[in-house]
Amino acid sequence: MKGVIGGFVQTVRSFLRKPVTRLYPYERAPLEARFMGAPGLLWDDKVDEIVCVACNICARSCPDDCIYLTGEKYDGGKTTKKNIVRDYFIDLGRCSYCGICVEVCPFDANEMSPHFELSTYDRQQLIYDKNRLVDIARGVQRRMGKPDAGDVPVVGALDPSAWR
Amino acid sequence: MAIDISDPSIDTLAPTESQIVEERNLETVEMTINMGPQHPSTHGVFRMVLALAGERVQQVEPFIGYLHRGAEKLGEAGDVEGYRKAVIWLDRTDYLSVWPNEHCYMLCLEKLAGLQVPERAEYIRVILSELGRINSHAMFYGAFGADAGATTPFMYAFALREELYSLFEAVGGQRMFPNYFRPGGLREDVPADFVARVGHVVDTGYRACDEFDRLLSGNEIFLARTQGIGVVSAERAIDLGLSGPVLRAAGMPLDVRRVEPYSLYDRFDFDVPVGTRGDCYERYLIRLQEIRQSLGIVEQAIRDLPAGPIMGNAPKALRPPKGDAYQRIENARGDFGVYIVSDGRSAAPYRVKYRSPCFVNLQGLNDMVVGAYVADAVLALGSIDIVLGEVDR
Ligand code: SF4
Ligand code: SF4
Repeated sequence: MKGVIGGFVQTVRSFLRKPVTRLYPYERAPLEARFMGAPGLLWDDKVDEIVCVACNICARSCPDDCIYLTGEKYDGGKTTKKNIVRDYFIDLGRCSYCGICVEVCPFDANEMSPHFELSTYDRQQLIYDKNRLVDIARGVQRRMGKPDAGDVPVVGALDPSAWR
Repeated sequence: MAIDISDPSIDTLAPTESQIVEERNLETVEMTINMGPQHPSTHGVFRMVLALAGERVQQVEPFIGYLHRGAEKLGEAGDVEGYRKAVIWLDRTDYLSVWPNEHCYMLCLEKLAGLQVPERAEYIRVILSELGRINSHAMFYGAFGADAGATTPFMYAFALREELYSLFEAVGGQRMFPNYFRPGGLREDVPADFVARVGHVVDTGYRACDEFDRLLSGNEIFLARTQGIGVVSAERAIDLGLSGPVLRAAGMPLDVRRVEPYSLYDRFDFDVPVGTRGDCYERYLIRLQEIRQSLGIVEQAIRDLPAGPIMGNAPKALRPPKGDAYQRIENARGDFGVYIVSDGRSAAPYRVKYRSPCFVNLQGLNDMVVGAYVADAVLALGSIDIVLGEVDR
């Protein structure tokens, strides 16, 4: 009987504690700064143009083969690039959110956006085109793999003996 | 909490099987039934064909492969960044002990390519691997409680796991599949509040462990359900090649972190909990103790965490020399190993092989359940703590 009563005591204690759950669509947990949602394409606001030059490196490095892109010759004169992306699709139904495409991009043209709520009634809508990818990454700064500004190296400074 | 195991259990009230057969004049015929693949207690998609005599299991035949995705073959497939792609697939095999497995893959690759890892990176890897182990054992606690008929432990386990996952999200950007370790170091340094957050998680972890114990460990119904069930002796466990908590519950103090220290594990002070009887209950107790030991390792690692670089001299495009390497580690389920063969030319491994402890531990299932009740078969399966993604790969 002792063990069962101990369990009840624990149950009553937890009952009196603040709940850890959230009422999800109404209350949201804050996303961490590094959160990796769907990959998106960055837009260069200075010259008002997409950054990507359609070099295809991301598509070849993607473990799920879910990036499809085509490029075209570029002579818009705003930047020095020779090529620019024409179509760019990511099938987010297959994407594994691994971030490899962002890491390998030599032109810093994409970034993992905080976009993660993908529910649709139709799988085809999970194939995001260039405009939607630019949309979800709007305002996102390129930072993956780079230290946060003002970061100092963290060393073990706390005294764990006081924790219990 | 001390548990009085000599307590006369409550099942003396129930009529025995022979009494029932006698009273109602029942005749027992042998019967073959299917359990799974959609059975909720099979932890994924796993099918057992049970030969039953009444309620007793005569024979069990496991069927696996429903979750087979060819993770090893996919690991060889990439032509560009192949060594990186293999990690993505490895992560998704054992989705509960992702951090230790990633650690193992990187250690193996570093052995093969002869890379040096900075000390700070190695410390961070150990911290995250141990937290990953805690995460997996907490999941076991929840699922095993549910197997035994108690649904509340699940909520307790997930309260702790939420803390851990938030930390993983802050460090690696992803909650489940971080892809954060790199050959030669880490992707990026930990965030500025890392030490404080790990301290908070350790704090919560110790508290949660005590709650786990109070809620379930001494519960007489739970004891009656798990004690003496699914016994595997030490000799038999070694014959079958079992590892991890299943082997240690049988009395063998075999932990790869202790017998073959890899990474920095020879610097930390921790105990290897060992059982004596090798039943479901001891496997459960050992996992709870391991959570405490892992928390201790995290405490020590965070105290000694040095400053410094987090990336060694790894080349950008990794092409290890021709050869092969094998690395074994102790993950949450047992002795996990990665074997990589490189042909020296391509950017992808020529062959990757994962030695998955669940797959081997599943061999012990027959010994555990033959002669037991069907309900005990569920518990025995749960006590192995299988992840079907890893069994089928
Ligand atoms: S996103 Fe980067 S890697 Fe991919 S095509 Fe554009 S420039 Fe190349
Ligand atoms: S995040 Fe990974 S899976 Fe998704 S598109 Fe990028 S490389 Fe491919």
